[in-house]
Amino acid sequence: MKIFIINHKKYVKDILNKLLIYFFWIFIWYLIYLILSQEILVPSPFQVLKRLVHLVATLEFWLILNYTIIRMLIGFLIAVFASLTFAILTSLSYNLSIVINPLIHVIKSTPVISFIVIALILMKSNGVPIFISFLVSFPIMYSCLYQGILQVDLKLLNMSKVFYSSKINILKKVYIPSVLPFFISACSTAIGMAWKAEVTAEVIANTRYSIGEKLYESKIYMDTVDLFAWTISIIFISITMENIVLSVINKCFNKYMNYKIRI
Amino acid sequence: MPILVKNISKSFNQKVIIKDLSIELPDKGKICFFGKTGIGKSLFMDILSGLCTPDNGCITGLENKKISVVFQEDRLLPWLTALENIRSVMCKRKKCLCQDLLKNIGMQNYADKFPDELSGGMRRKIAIARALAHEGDVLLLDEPFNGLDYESKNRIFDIIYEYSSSRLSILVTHNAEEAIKFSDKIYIFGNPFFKLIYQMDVHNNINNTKIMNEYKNKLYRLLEV
Repeated sequence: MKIFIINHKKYVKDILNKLLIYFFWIFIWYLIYLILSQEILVPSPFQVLKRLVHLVATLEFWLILNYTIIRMLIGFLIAVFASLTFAILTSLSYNLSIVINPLIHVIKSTPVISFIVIALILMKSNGVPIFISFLVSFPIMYSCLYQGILQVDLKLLNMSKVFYSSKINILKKVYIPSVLPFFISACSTAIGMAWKAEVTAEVIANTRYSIGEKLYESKIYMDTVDLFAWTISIIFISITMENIVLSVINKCFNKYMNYKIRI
Repeated sequence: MPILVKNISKSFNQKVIIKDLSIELPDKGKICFFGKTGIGKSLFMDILSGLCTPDNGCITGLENKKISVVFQEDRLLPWLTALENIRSVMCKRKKCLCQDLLKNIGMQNYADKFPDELSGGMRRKIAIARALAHEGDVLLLDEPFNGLDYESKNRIFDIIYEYSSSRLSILVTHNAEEAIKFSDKIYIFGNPFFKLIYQMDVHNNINNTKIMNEYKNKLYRLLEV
């Protein structure tokens, strides 16, 4: 009971500290607003909050959110499966890894905007954000998973060949736990990147029912309050999405996660 | 059916470690590979366990035999607890015996600890328990008593000794006393190229200090040849 109270107090203290930091930055924002006194450049945080509350109360907001999240998740999940498949194949064949690596480098170093323009020529505007979300996540996921597979401890693998006769057992007992930390770190990075790139693609492709479309409209009408309100919702969703995906992974591989947290 | 090792050779980076080794091993009993450090004993164990393929030669008599190994390093899975490391190699119907095994090696209070929460000696005990739990037809023990204190060493020694009576157990060591106490037969290997120098049967009462010292002296003399 005592431990619970101590933990609870610590938890509340942590939240209060975080809130204080947020309030500090909102205060800075408010100061900038007061100094500039030009709502078209920097709107008041109170007005943005008011608009955000108004937005959240509309059905359209949730519809747009829904479509944007689904597009991002489709692209991200395709990237997860593709990167997993390619990472396994390339770790099995050195020749294949030599063939694939330049492609990964090219995808990594090409500006997202180039891909968006190419995608705009090749597909409908609805598909562009999905494609971009995939393209941004894929090289990050692939590189991490490939490194993860290569770094599986050879001594543990030899041990497992002696003690675990089936390949599925070796996969479950050695490969998955070894690669899991790499997978989690890749997911955490890739989701944030995919989300940002997807919204960019939506703005340029002017995708219907998307946050990007709303950002584009706020730019056309010089509606900075709207722009800030949507941007805050993007940040909020990005953090929420990352937490949801990581907690799903945590639930699926609870045991190995506990081991990692303990370390 | 005895295990026949025929003309085995193995090189690493053009350096010959084992050359043309032929040896016949019994299919049951306690034997020991004795030799100085770094001559290739562990490599030969890896070849016997199938983890390393020889460049030339073959081994017959090990086909369809289940092999358990106590490696020189513990090689425990860091994401499994002590109990789970042992349970993971056991067949389903025998998993209930896991706690008994832990109790026998004096580790019942550490069942839920992860390997990095255990001392070196404790990890060693778990690695030995895992090999015993696997119940192989052949038990390969690569310097299994390293890092164990005197009391634990005696306790574990007795457990392995009893367990080994119904199968083939091969102990790899450079410790003469361990070799003499454990084995019915000692194979002494030396340089160059992991040459079999001598095969020595151990018949007498090993508790007799005088006899033990005679064996020890003989072993060390053979190593100097």
